[in-house]
Amino acid sequence: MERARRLANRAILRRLVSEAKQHQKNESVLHSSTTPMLLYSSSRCMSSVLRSRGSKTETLLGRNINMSRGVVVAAAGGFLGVGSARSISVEALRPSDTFPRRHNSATPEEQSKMAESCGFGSLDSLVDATVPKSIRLKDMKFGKFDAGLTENQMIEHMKDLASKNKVFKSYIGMGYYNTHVPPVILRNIMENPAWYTQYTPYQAEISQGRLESLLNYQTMITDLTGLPMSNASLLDEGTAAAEAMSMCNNIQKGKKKTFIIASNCHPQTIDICKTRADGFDLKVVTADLKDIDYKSGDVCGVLVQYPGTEGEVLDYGEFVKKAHAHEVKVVMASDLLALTVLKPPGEFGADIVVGSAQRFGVPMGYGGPHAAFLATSQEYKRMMPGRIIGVSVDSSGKTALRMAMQTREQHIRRDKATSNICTAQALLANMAAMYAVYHGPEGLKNIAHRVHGLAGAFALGIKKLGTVEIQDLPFFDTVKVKTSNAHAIADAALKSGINLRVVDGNTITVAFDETTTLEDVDNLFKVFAGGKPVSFTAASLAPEVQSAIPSGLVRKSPYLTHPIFNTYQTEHELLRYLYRLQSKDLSLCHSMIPLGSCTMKLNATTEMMPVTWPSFSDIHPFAPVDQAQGYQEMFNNLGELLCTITGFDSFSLQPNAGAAGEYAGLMVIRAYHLARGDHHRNVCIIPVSAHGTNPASAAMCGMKIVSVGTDAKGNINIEELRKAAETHKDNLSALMVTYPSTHGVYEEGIDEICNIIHDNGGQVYMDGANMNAQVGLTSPGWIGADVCHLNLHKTFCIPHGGGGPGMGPIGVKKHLAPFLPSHPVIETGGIPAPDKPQPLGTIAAAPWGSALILPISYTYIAMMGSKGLTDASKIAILNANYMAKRLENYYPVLFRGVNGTVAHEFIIDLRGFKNTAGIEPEDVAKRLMDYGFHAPTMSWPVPGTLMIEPTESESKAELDRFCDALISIRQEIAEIEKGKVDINNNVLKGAPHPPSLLMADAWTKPYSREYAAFPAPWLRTAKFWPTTGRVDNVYGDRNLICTLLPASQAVEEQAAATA
Amino acid sequence: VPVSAHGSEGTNPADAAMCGIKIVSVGTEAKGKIDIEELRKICKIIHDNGGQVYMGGANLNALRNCSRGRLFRMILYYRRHIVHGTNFSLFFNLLQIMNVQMFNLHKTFCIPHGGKCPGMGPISVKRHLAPFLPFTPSTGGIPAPDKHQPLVTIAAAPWGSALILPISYTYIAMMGSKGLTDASKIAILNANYMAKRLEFFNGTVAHEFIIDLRGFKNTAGIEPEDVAKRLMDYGFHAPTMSWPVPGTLMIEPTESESKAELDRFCDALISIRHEIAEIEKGNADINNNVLKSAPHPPSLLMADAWTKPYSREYAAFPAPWLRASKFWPTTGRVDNVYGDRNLICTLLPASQAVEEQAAATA
Repeated sequence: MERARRLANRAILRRLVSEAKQHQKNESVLHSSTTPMLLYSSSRCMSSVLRSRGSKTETLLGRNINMSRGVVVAAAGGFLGVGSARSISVEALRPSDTFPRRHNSATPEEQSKMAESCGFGSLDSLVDATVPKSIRLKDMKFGKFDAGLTENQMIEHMKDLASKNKVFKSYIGMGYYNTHVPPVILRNIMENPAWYTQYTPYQAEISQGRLESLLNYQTMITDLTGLPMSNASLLDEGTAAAEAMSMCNNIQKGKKKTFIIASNCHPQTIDICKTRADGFDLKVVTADLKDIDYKSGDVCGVLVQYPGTEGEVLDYGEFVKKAHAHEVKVVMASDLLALTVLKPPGEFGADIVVGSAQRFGVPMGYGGPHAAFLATSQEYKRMMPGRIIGVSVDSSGKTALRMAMQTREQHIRRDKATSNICTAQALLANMAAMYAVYHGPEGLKNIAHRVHGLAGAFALGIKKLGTVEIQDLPFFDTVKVKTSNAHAIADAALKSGINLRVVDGNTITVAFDETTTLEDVDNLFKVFAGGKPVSFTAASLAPEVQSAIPSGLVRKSPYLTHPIFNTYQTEHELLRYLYRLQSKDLSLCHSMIPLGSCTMKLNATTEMMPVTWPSFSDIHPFAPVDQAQGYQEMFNNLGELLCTITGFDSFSLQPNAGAAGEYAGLMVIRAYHLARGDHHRNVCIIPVSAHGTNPASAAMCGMKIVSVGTDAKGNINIEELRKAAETHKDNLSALMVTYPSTHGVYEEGIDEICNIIHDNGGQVYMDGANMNAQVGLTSPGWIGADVCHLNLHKTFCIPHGGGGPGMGPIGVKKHLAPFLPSHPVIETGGIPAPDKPQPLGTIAAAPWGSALILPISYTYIAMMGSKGLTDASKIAILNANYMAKRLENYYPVLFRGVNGTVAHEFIIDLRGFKNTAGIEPEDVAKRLMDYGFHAPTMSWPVPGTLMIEPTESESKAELDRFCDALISIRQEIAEIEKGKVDINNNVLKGAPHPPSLLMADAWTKPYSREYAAFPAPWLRTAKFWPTTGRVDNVYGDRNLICTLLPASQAVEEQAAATA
Repeated sequence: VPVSAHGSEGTNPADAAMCGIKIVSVGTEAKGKIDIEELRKICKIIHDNGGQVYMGGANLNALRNCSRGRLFRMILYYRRHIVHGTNFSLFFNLLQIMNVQMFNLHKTFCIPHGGKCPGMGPISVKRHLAPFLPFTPSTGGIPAPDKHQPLVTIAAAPWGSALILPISYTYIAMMGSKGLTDASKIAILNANYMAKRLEFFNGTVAHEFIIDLRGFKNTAGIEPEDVAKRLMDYGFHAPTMSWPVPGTLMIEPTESESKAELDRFCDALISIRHEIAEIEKGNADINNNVLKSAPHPPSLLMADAWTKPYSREYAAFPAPWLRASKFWPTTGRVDNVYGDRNLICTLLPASQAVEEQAAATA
């Protein structure tokens, strides 16, 4: 019997060895701390138990397998029992496509090695030394997805959700229209990580591609609106209108406190403006166009819609004259496709034009993301919100692009900012611009004429049917129908898979778009015929259809005349143009982008896949909720998951940017105080270490800002804060705090800080920008915060898109839940819903913000599971500490926690080099480009420093490369300090070095070409080339040009630079 | 098999040998040109002597110099008399497959150009050959012949690489009959336009749009390979090199290239012709010139030492469009002989790769 057992064990072992060799290649075994994986040597999967027996394992796997009974038993532990033969472990049979190990880069061995280099025995001891005990969470558990889905399970789950969404033919309109996204743009921009993993183009020399695309966008907007200056996108049409309202207030220097909104505007726009106006003591009056008057002398601006929300196209010429006669600014909310055939607002004399570029090739996506626009005159350039791309020159005199007038930005102007816009919608602006490039002016006009013609055919057909009455006003794409039975018709339409807009019991509007076909119009005839036979078709009516646009309102001025809009109209040409631009831009495809506070991490392919599925992308945001049950289920799941992660009780998914989330969070606090009768609570305490846009958000909520400083270690000065809170205890509204702070430190007294605020009647807003250091280890709710916004485009993996899209949902404690924002068209509120909603108003144009990109965060959380997410936070901390350790002998690390560690990011101090070598952070930033890297966050929160945040998804090899680059640069600085290198003419001041400079026949630098170009060995294998020399920021601001240069001038400047 | 026979990369003789058919070569006349009358005669001769005519799908050359009327008559003739290796429109489909796959693989997954695309080579036959199409119980000809006498099985899967057939199907369905016909016309137009722009430098009329570089071997020591490598510095992949005639380049632009792109390519070749002329005139060294040293990778152009008799900028930016956008080769000219004499076709051990990299850098 003993011999039989020995033989059986030997046979089993032989089989397992054979299978182990096969499995090794597939890394098929999951990590397990309870069941030893005896025979699998993949280091990523090796358990701690197995690690201690590594040598024996190697023996077993080697050629000379010691088959003695003792070794077998010892090596197997309990696996191959003496008493019986056991089958292969069930762990080996689990799915092979688990996700956390694909996201969290460091292997367990690397984790230990890195922790040891920081002076800690293990990852966990490092984390224990870093996260204060007073706020540490024991465990985070999810009700759903706790173990994390595999990638394929996730895809199946998303397919299931998608199947619960019904895509009806949409005629709702109201600013959202179906469109054909050209496949070449869909695949090569929206689905292309080289486009969507770029950062905001602060580093112009490695961003010339998307800067050109955004300049195309600005040119498109200015051409179509007839106003000379446009920004590079805003969040949505409603918030763009609110920004325009704010501009009117500022243009009038706050002396006129009334803003009039015409009732022909979209309801979501009206509500957003009202909500925004509340914050800075502006009164919004809505009125019919015919009733608008300016007699009070208190009106700063007026907003109208062109075409109107019910489709009417009106002549605003006299309206604008009258407004201007009363020194009232005119804002027109408009539609880009309409403007290809309608007289542009600029020709009426409009001061500001806003709108959305969604219908230029960006899916409706149940609300977004889409690129909105705001155009105005150069007279108001300093008051214009959002980013502007301007034309400048580089160090060789060649034309180059960069973001202009950055001193307007919120993190610089802080409490003097007039807008908190930070993230824009760069990726969607790129898509819309390329749509215009691809179709060209004639193509766009053809689409517009077709849309208008279909609307006209519908109007004519409905008249022939005689069942309802058509409004007799000019229209472009939306036909207004008067009937006594609006709901019955809409219900009949629903049965045919058609969504119409029911304005009221007597009114329906039908909006046509690029995807409408003649057959669709025939289907509409059937619906409106109420069961009676229809004797005609849209095709048969076509010859009779007349344009519904009065000749005085027909566009006569040319647009999109620049060659860029007339050259790339075959797919080959557009494809090459896209790749030429892409090749100029650095993205996460090239290297890590360790921007402090921005959390540039992996945007996994599986996370990105559902975004382009029709069942998610083709739904109108105002479609009946029962048609979007897949979305609703995802919202509910995501809301619950985020509540668990944050320790809050309810979430709103409406804010569609981080800055919108900040603003929404403060407005919730404000609404809470008002509801309690505390109208006087308007003081907001903000530490200097708070996130950059916080003061701007507070100002937008009408709060008085009280700054408190930090101590020498960069922590909030608690005594100063206590004093401020007690001083203002009767008026204290909120504290805005970032945790860990933007200094990269878990402040020890954060719970005490929250108590101080609460004791003095205030609420705590926590900025979620640094949430990547909290997930699973602590949480805002646990710490004591009352509201927190999350940057889903940071911690939760929505890609940065070169400057947006983003999502900034807010979580709140129970007592604030009733005040979460809602929506005038579709009610929203908290998830889970509070008992008695008292919504603060509307924050974003769509009920759930940019719903289309929520699958990205949802899939990330669901695939990581609670343990994977906690590990992500731990590894993010490990990576930051490892880098800080490697760099500390070369650059001072500015702030540390009480045990000498940093959080998930850290600040290196370059200020000393200004004196010793004349080197500024910008010089280091530009020289990093020569090493193939994007610089860390520069000169913020402390001027003269760099803030480095590696994230958990960067490998040790990449961390080491980045450290090697900075160490090498430090040595380059040392050469200047020693006097070996000229202080004004050195490799840092000369950086970045584009090929055109390095290959120039004349080389006059005091350092060699090779040293400039290949300062590190990895650059010989793969080098990302900047396409311009250093861009002159001052030149660009002094000569503000933010549309495409005329082609001839571009050629001349190119020739001059080449000569 | 005529010496000018097509088939992809001149595979016709090999195909015949694989079928156990004895090969008899016949030459071509000096003009290298086939017109419809000659084609008719050729087919008649073969049919009269009991044979069948196989025509490869790469038949654009025969169409290129035809007038419109002749083209139409030739198409009719095809339909009545010719067995196709690949039928007319499917040929374009293969080109589209190549284009699509190359673009996607190249741009998205960084596989360099020159990677081989997946392909499909369906065959179409006259009725009398239909019974012999490859057959399994579930497949056969489309439409199906009355009686099957299958030649046996050609590929492992019943319908070959079925997954990529949607590519050809969508192309045909979206182009429609007029679109496809226009594609042929424009392909012919593009080739003739380029041939016209380039003919002056060739010295003779282009045949099937083959440009003849053989004279430059004598006058300047320049081989087709030198022109091919120098084209890389202009951002282009070379045309088919030294086939079907040694010492020539065969250029096929296709209908999906814009005039601007055709002009850029012609400008590059014209510029290279000027570079050759410099050698012919003795202004440039016959052994150390910009063509013999091409391509010029960044590591060479930025090297601290520059010993070439021409300037860095001339090597790197010989045309104005290269200032706006340049595709950089990552290596200098690859030594084909070395690779064949030292055949290594798996990854080098990591340590050796490091050593070789260091040696190359030193």
